[in-house]
Amino acid sequence: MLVFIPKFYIWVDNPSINMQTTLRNPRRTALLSVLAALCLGIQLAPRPPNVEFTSLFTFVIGFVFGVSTGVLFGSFIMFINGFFSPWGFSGLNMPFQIAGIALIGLVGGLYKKYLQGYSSAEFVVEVAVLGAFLTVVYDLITNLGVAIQFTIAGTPFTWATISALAYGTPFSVIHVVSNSAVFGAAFFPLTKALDHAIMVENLG
Amino acid sequence: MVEKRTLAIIILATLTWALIATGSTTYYYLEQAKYQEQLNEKQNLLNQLKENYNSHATKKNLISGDYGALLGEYQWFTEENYSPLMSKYEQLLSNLKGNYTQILNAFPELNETYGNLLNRVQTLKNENVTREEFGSLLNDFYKLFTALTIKESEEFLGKTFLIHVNLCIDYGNGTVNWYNNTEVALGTTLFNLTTKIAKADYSYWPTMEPGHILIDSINNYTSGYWIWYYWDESTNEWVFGPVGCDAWILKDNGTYKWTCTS
Repeated sequence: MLVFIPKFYIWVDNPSINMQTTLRNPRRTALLSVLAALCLGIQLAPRPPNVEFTSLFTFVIGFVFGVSTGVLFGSFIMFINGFFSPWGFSGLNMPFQIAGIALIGLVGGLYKKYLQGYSSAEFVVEVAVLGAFLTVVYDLITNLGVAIQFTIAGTPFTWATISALAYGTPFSVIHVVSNSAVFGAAFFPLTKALDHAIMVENLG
Repeated sequence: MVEKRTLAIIILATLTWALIATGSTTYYYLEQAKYQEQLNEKQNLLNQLKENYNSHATKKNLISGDYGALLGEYQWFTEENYSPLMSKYEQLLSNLKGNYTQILNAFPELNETYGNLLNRVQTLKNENVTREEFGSLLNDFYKLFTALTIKESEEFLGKTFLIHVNLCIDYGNGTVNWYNNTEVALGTTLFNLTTKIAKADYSYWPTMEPGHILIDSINNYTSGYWIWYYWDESTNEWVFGPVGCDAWILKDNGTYKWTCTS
């Protein structure tokens, strides 16, 4: 099993740009810092509930810089967001938010293998659908976190899960609609912009 | 290859739609169940209100009938000594106590009025009772009876409807405490609210009307006289309480103030 882990890591990570090479390159580190600051700025600014750009940024970072960087980027943003979010301290839900966003970063990294010609507008619908699906999965994970909080407070787990998922649905709808629009509209322009940036090499 | 990819995307889209649709349906179902429960609860309250109203009307009509009969006897009585009617009066008072025990126990000011009336009856029982004295007893009985019936109807309405009020207690020494958005039953008097929020000592004044209660201390603070005011929203100023605090019925979102003045 332990022997399998490095192989899996190599498989999931971008073969050309892995985490180590990303962070060894000061230009890439600077670019990632700027993107993290931008993403945090948007994430922590007052905004309508569940309308966010962190998922897109994490997905794009995963896509451009590889799985590890995407996972770490999303986890870092969610960790900071857990303390300073305009909606209050995340508390027990924070690990679930981190897990959800890490999954988006992971899928972003894996998606590059399956997207031929990333600049093509033909895949706008595909990216929008993928964004919507990832958002639903993210919401399922975070609602599970809410259900666990309810369970700790004394509600039976089954009822806590059903009510957390059901009462989270209106917010989930906003999240899915906004994220599919954001993914569909901004994924390719953002990837293209990063591609043109001088510090990103060997992309695609 | 393209077909496989399209299929994968269609599956993902369908899965997204299915999850959202399931969640929405569950949400709708839970909301419906919640509203249905609230509706049933309200319906039960209305049924209870109807039952209470019937019981209230029966009691009121019964005692009104007895009172009317005694009043008729009093009006047609020709002798100078009205003591023969005293036993009927005592019976009427006893009936009143029997029918409104719960209200009398819940409201000390009304219980005190009842106790005073009973004491007067006991005092007059073995004496020569004049027409004026018996007339005064009848009059006081009717006032107490009316107060009890109103209080009872307010009590069962209060179980169905709640109001929110604000109370300020100004101790006059710089300490001002606000009790905002306090939930009370419909028909609650300022006296009831004050005793609910704070420890209040009071004295009963039989001759003062309407309302027989004067507050002597709030939370053991006795350095002066306790006077109450209500906030007049039309003029935006505090208005001096015109009656005893036990006769002032609170309004929804009303604001009231106790001030200790030396």
